[in-house]
Amino acid sequence: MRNPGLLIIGRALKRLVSNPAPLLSGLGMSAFFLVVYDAAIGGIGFLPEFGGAGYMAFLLPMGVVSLLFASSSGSAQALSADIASGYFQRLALAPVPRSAFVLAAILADAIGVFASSLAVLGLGALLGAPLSGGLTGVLGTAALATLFGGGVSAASAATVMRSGKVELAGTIGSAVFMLLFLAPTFVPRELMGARWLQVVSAWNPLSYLMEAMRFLVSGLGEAASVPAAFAIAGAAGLGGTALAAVSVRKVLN
Amino acid sequence: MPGNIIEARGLARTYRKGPRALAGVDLSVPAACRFALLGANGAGKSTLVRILCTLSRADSGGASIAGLPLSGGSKAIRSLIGVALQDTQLDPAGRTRDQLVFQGRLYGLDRKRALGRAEELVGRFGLEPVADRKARELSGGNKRRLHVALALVHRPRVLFLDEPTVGMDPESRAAFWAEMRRLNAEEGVCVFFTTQYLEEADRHGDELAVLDAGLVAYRGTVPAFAAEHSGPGGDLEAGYLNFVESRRLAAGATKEAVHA
Ligand SMILES: Nc1ncnc2c1ncn2[C@@H]1O[C@H](COP(=O)(O)OP(=O)(O)OP(=O)(O)O)[C@@H](O)[C@H]1O
Ligand SMILES: [Mg+2]
Repeated sequence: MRNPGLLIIGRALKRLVSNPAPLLSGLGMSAFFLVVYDAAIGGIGFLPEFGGAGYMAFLLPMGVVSLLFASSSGSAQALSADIASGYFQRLALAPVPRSAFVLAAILADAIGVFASSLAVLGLGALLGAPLSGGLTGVLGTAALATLFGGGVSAASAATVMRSGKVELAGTIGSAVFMLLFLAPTFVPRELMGARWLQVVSAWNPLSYLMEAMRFLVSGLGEAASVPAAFAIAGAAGLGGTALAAVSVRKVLN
Repeated sequence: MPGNIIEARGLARTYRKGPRALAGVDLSVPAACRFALLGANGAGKSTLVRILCTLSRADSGGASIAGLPLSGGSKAIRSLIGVALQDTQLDPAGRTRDQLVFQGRLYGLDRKRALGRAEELVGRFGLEPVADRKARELSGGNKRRLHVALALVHRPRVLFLDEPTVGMDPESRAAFWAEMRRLNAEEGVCVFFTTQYLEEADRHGDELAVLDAGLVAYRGTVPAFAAEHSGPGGDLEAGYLNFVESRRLAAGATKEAVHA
């Protein structure tokens, strides 16, 4: 018997392409924020706390992470559509592990996030970020986004499968979006006005993610942030995926 | 027991926030049999089918298909069975032929064989005019035909068909049953179906069971049931109506006895 894994992944990718709305709105939002925040507060980029590479170099990780707000709901939407049409039950009758259909949808989302983060980094370069970290920096950043985004996507899929409600597909993405405002997203931690925000941001996984991306893309901050960020993103990716895989059971009863 | 392809013992299922759908079903179905499962709306037919085909779990009891226990053997069972549930399960955005090909490949056929099999089924079920249409654009009867065709792609040994002909025109219904007869006679496929059209059970079933309130109320061959309950010259439909009526009277009598 042939391995149907590639077939299942192929279908998930085809569906991603035929419903590009989540990916495109992620990209649109990310581009919008980069342009608007740079226009609004880019003037502070000369301050020594920003490391001297210009504000866009500092801001760019925000653009990558804000992709996840919309881009990581694709798998949840695709699974909901299959569940609503009943087609999921037909798939569940095939002699393959039922979690394969969920994992393939998450993988498709992750691939979409990888491609979109390359696009956002390209846009950042056009807008003046020097990308001094070179190809390694770019790929490392995209890898972080993909791992963490896979986790967000998986958690969204799990939410939909457990609740049976497609309306909840965006909740995890929205939570990520809110976390963006509780992290050193627009200014470094030293420049945050309130002490409580510094405390909160120290607990916010996005802080470590964006600081690592900043180091990778532009050489800002400390190298130690990179392994920490990979540990966080890896845990999010693996944890979310495991949760999604076991949530398949909730779909059938 | 050897010779039986489906064995169920004491299957019970109560839905969360719902009624007791199965109350302990015992059922044996011999291999290469065309088996009709009858019963009123809500009797538990679809619940039983969903459990036997590994989609739902029983709260208690057990069953085996071709000797493989439902618990544990599920993946092996799934490659042996073909299923068409009561509600059609189609990918609305998928085209007729593509869905048949995908289904074949999902069950391990290579691309070429899956294509060949898809063409064969498109022809057999009269789907040529809509082979390149998306499922959501098909008429109700054509959706049903595709739904049933999908169950056959991988040449299963046991078919579970839950009201398979609902909405099909007479011509396709006849073609469908002719194909079931052929699969049964030539390939030894067990055809386990539910229906509310008693003439289908009469003409296309060898044996039958009647479910009533989650229990097997009758189990026997089609001719025996008709002979027992319809009187001389009566058909299965008359027999079924007599049977149901006599059970209702008996249940009423029991209730009165309890109240007295
Ligand atoms: N998902 C569900 N949740 C709660 N109750 C359910 C569910 N599915 C079925 N039931 C109930 O279980 C009982 C048996 O239903 P089932 O669908 O098995 O009957 P059926 O014999 O197939 O009926 P029909 O001839 O109408 O198709 C019914 O009372 C039904 O309302
Ligand atoms: Mg039913």
